[in-house]
Amino acid sequence: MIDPIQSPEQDVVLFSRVRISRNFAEIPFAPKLTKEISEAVIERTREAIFQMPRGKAFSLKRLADMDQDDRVRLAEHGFISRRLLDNVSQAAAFLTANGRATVMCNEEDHLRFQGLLPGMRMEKAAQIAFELEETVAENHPFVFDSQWGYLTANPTKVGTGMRASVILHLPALAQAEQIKSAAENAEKQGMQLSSLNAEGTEVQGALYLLSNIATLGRSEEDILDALVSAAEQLIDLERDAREESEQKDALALKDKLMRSFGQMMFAQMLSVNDFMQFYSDARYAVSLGYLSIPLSVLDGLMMDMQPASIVVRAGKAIGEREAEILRAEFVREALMQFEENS
Amino acid sequence: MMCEECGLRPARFHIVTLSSDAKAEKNLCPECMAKAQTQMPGLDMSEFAGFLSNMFSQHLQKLKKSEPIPDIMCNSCGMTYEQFHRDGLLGCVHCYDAFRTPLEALVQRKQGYQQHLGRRPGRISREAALRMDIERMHRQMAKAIEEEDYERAAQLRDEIRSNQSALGQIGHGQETAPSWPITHEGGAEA
Repeated sequence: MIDPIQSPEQDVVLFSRVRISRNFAEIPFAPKLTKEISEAVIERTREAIFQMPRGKAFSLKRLADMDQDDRVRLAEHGFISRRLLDNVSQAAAFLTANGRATVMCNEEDHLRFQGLLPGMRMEKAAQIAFELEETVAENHPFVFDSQWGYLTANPTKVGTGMRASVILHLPALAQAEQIKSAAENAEKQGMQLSSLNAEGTEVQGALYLLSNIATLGRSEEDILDALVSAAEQLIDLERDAREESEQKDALALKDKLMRSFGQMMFAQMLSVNDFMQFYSDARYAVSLGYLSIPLSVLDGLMMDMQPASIVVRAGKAIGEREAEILRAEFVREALMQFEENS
Repeated sequence: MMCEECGLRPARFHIVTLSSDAKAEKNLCPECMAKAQTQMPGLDMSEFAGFLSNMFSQHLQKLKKSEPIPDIMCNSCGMTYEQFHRDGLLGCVHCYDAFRTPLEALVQRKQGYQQHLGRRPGRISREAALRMDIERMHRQMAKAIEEEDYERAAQLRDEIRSNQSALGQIGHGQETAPSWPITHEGGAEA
């Protein structure tokens, strides 16, 4: 049997992500950017990226040339930011097929380099982003100020221009209503713990984002170290909370999670909200050894079942009801081979 | 928890309002708390002890001054400070010079630091950065002279000289230790 947990700390951590914002020296920032000049941003980046030894792995996507669902799917998978979707007419992205390396063009800043890896691998994710950044910087210098470091369109993000994040699954802490105190504790360490979904209104699937707040006055290394340390504390807290739940009443917990799995497997229609709850319960069940579904399969499924991604997967325009029917079908198909682990 | 009024800043105050038929609770940040206090005459802030009182009064003072928006414009891209104040984004790199003074206060407030300590551009772009710095300091020096702040102008003149000599060394391929502290270089190796 394959171990369902394949990446470091994957029982709690879905992804490690590092984004670095940069601007070219002689090109105006986003508010003053014309269509013509925005093309220059893409063109410069294209030259640099495609001449890299691994440049062939990248493809250039102009958002304006894509269907709405295809664009949103990229954001649902975390390959691009939601914010990039706000500027469809000028935005573009250089992407690898596995989504691990991305260069976003004409978002809030000219370029945003991203490294995205499953599990707790901050250092490697940062390495991916900085390698891309250095490649472009070799030919076209970015604006840099000796006092404030890398200058960004939003002046409160100057300095490293780096936002590092860990995407966490915290079902036991959420259940125990400990997210608030965990967030307060993270804030004391200069980190922000927020809900993963873009609107930030309601938490779906107990998924949270832990990110650095400050970008100025400390090195990238220090910021990453602080983030990793704050993430490790959260991971420990979540594991403790899971253990506590199990100690309290293991059978009741298993009953709840496995019923949820049953509902997911036998549902004929699945809304995104329901699915996210079932997904979260299944992920929790895997971490406790009740199920043996590889977490990467569950997380991949979670992204594929999002509203735009499911339309892309269907390959045709579908309505809400049809999407719910397809979601139930796809989920069954993907998970049928994994049986209960007890 | 974020402030329930502005949703932008962390809440620091928990306010419970009691009336004959209802009890209302709200979590507010110091800034919104300061605003709320002006609408809540019964609230005596002097009862708050120590740092809470300080935190609050700072914001109240700021509110009283009501922070006039400076009437300045970036000559390079035409962005006004008012536009920036509204949308939060600058128009071009020269806005950083045009709006330097108010931006310094803003950066201080948001970041708590004024000095970048992270990565720096490599050799080629380090030269470009030096040139940009020299250019910026020339403008600042001209402004200082205009404002008859000769001490600042002299300080800038010395900084320009030091940067020019660093630039010369790069040109001759004899780059020695740069004039800035490097705390982290490379970083992506492995």
